[in-house]
Amino acid sequence: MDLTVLPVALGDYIGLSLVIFFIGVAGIALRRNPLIVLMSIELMWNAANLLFITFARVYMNNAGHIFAFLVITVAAAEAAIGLAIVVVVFRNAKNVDVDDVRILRG
Amino acid sequence: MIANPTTQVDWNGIAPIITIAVTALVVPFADLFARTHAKRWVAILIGGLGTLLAAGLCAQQYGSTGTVFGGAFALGGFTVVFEEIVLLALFGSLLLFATTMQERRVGGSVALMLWSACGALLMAGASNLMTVFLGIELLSLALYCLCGMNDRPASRESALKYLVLSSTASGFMLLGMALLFGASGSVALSSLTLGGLATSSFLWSGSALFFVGLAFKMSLAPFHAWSPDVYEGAPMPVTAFMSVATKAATLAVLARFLYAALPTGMSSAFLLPIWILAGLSMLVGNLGMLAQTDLKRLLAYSGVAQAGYLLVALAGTTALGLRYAIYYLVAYAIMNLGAFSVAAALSDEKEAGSALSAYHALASRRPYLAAMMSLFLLALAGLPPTAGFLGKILLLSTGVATGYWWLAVLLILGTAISLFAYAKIIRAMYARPDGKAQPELPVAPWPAMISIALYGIALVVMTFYPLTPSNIVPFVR
Amino acid sequence: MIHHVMGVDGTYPLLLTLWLLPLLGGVLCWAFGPQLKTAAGWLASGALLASFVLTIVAWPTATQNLNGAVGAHQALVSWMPGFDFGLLFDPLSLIWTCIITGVGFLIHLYSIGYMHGDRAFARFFAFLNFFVFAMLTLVLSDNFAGLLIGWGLVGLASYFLIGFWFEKPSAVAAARKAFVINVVGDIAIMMAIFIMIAKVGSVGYGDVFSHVAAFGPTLFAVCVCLFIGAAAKSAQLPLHTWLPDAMEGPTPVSALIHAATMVTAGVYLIARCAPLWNASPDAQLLVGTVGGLTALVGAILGTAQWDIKRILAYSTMSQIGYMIMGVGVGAYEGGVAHFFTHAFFKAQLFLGSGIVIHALANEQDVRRMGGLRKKLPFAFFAMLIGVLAICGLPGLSGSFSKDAVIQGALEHGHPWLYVVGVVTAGITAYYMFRMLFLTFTGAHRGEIDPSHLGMRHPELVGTPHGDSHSEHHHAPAWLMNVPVAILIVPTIAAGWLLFGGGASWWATFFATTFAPETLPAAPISEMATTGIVLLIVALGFLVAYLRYGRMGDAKAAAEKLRMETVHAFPALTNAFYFDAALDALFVRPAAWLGALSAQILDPHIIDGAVREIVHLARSLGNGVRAVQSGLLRAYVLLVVGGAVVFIAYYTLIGVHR
Repeated sequence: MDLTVLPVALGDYIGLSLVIFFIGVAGIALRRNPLIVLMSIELMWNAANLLFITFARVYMNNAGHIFAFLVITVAAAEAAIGLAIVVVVFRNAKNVDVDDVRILRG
Repeated sequence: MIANPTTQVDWNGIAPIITIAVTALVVPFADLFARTHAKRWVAILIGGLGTLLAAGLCAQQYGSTGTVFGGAFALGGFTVVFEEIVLLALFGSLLLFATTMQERRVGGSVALMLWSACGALLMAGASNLMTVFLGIELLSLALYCLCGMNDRPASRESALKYLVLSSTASGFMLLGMALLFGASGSVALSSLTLGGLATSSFLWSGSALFFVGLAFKMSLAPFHAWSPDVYEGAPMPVTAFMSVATKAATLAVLARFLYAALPTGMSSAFLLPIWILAGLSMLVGNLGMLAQTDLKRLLAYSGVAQAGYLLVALAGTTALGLRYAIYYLVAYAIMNLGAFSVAAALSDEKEAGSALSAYHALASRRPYLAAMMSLFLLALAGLPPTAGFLGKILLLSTGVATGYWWLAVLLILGTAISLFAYAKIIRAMYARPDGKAQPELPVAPWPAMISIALYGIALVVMTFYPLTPSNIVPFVR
Repeated sequence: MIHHVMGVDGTYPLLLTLWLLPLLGGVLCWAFGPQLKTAAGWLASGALLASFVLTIVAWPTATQNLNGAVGAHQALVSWMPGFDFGLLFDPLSLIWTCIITGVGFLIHLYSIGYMHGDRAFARFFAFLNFFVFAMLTLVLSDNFAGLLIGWGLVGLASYFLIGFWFEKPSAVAAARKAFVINVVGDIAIMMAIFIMIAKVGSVGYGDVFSHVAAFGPTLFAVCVCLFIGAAAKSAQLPLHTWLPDAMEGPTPVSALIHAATMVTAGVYLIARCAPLWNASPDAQLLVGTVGGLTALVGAILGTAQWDIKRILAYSTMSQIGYMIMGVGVGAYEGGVAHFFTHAFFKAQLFLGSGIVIHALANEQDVRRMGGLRKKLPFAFFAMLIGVLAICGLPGLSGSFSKDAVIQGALEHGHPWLYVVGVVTAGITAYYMFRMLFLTFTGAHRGEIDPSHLGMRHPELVGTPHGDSHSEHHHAPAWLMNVPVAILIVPTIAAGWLLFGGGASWWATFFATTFAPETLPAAPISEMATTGIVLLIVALGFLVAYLRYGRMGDAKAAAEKLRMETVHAFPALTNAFYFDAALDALFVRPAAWLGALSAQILDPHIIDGAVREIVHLARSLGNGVRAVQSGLLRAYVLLVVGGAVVFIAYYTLIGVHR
């Protein structure tokens, strides 16, 4: 582990990543618009990407970069499917609100 | 560790996955050209043949060792056993399409299920974090679509819930993977065992997040909330596949992580939360079953409890425990597929067999199905003469032998609670007809009936041959 | 753990066939009974004869010795590690198999005559064949689990056969009593098996016996548990009370199951577990003592019985006491030899008594017999030989084996058991001759006109007669005489296998099984023991002759016996109050507890608790379902909450590592 390659301290990268991550978590838990929820999920995943890239740099291991690209690819697929599902679920609804979706319970 | 660019690409190692993927590509085309009323069986036939071919190819790799693709995918007995369980789940679930699901949706659904199985197969042999992630996401992305394949609002709702919750859990797991990568500087699972990482805070916090993701996929309490809703909403074959394949593949990842990726000298405090989750799952799952009216939902709660049972075998991470876990997993796969098969045999596109009210006085109308359903429920409850009984005995013995007696106690307690729920269904099936006009029951095709018989026979026969492969444990590090 | 197998591993089709033939016979008799009619008896007997012939043919495989592995081992099913099922055919199981199939065949043959015309003729033979199969399973199993299966199945067969005439309430009660006591023994053996699994991890004989050291202090517990099982099956104190009652079954059943084979299963078990007993002197002392006491008590109780079959039942109990004493103290060859000879002479006595009972239209009370020597000369001759053998007249089989047991007790350092054995031998002579005199000599005292004896009403031939045998009495058919006649041969001759003590054929035969030990010379020589026993036996005979040999005419004799009945010791007529004690100790408290639980515990405490638990479970279940609100965001919060707890735990613990 070579921390000198980083322009700022490792802790700062981790801290930023965690902040982004929890913004994402809060968005999923608190926002009721499904599109915002999908965007928040992207935020969580990209927080992880930031860490991958940081550690790739620290360890001089490209596996981290590859992982980040992999995550971006999968996230794109996931977003496409997510948007499709949101469209199907809310096709006939007046309001787009995840709290309205609760047939299944118990 | 930098992957060696001259690494020989070994396509043979992932032959089963390639077979399934190719089948998944063939099915939509065949569906396109098949005549309207042949679409259902064309898709099932091609999917089934591809699955059998993959199972055959997979079995050939039983004795092989090592890894392929630069350490991304491990070969050997452990991988093969879990791959075969996934393929069993795939095959059994494909058969359920025979009665359920609208004909025009079957082709697409079968293709998606095959893709999903690809992800599960990948997880079975995944030996680095990237393959794990890729496998989980491939499995899940296809399942999100599959869940919404029916036109019912509940089906769409389940897709949305599954997507959001699963992606959230994946987010946690991804952050955990990043931290694990930060701990060792390598994505290979085996690299964690090197260099005295037992006290690394990256390893500890990374593992915590990684476990959260896996616990979610295995639907362990309190991360189980998605499963009752999704199981109930999803089409029946999808629920059957999800209940077995997801658990099997996730268990493979978890077992590989616990057995092959942890540094020596990890304190027992490291794994304690997992066993607590197991205990909690046994309670929550069995209690949740008590007042259900939908079979799929009931089996979802049952699955929560069964996931807890499975983990009891891994407590103490002994080699014997892993073998017992695999035995119980196979038994669980068969009993679950059996129960879903009976439900599918009573269903049409509307899935009438999912409602527990459909089972009232079933014995007088369909004695064979009622008897087989009773057998599967007895197995789920862990009573003789089924493999569920022997499996639970084996789990109990591991729990006690490794000193996790409190898990054994919870297992017995959970089993006792679950008896109420299972017995209620059996009693209803053998109740007298109440004179009310019952809806006409569909007649299931013969392959479905035969598969139900085979599941039943397998469950009983397994009791007498509790043989688990012995050369699983020294899998690749 | 290396898997130890006793016997030479291999495939033995003969062994499998001789084991399964009785099962096949039983199934056929059961399934095709109505069609087979009397052929069922011949079919069942044929199956057993074939089984017996195969046993003789397979004899060399049982005695083969390959590098210390003696006998034949046929693997059958491998279940779990430590639970491998197979057949073991070594000298010990060979001897038992010979008796079960050989004597069993003769008794089957006899039953064709005895049970002739019974309305459930085929069912009887189905049960009998099933019993033989179960017994063979017991003695041929190569592990304790298989033994327990056979153990339970013979108990079941015994239950069926004691209660064969289920219209008789006393037969049903006797069957139930035998079954309950036997289940006590089964559970004890199960306990022993649990300890074996815990300590050795296997139930195979080879594994257990090669890891005796692994038991440590629990070895005594294992031996005691096994012995409780053996005592229940072999009618040892205080679990013997079922055996006299079991005489409610048909006489061939008494001869086969309750004299020759099943009741000796306990002897087999202890002889089989010789390595365990050899390692536990305490257990040896316990078993030897109980065996000796049983021999004595059984003999004493035998002196006060009036029912000819109960006399023989107590005599069986007493003789098994000898066997148990023999194998208990470590004189395994002696104990097993006594089983071997006893099977012949006791079967012969029972079958002889069956001829008498049959001829007297089910009269079993010796007070109403007498003077039958003229009418039933063959029965008298057969029973005389049997009585002489059981008393130990030198040269007949009983004397060799009994003396071997008595001498064995002395050699293994139990002088007082020696005394018990000698005294019991005297009492045995007394009550056996008492039975013989009362039955065959003097004047006939029964209501039945002796002139009718030997006559058979032709119109009654072939009619159903069940237990009452109707009003007719008839001479035994040749079918009943032939087996008895055949049995006379081994009754006289079997003992000569033992002649020569340590150098005898018998001792050589078992040399590989029991690893003979060199013992210090006993203070009394074998010859002297034989002499002492003979003297005591002569004394017993003399007393019996003086009391019952010269009883005058029928009226005087009947009056004498009536007075004797009136003035009998209550302790003896009540069989030392064992039944009353068991009743007071177990049955009545159990009934009291049952009543208590039915009136107070069940409705108020247990049901209440169950209701509470169900209620609790349901409300907890509702709690689980309340969490499942259907709100997506609530689920997310649940996941996040769980994750936060997880992270908190790992971060905090991780920091402190």
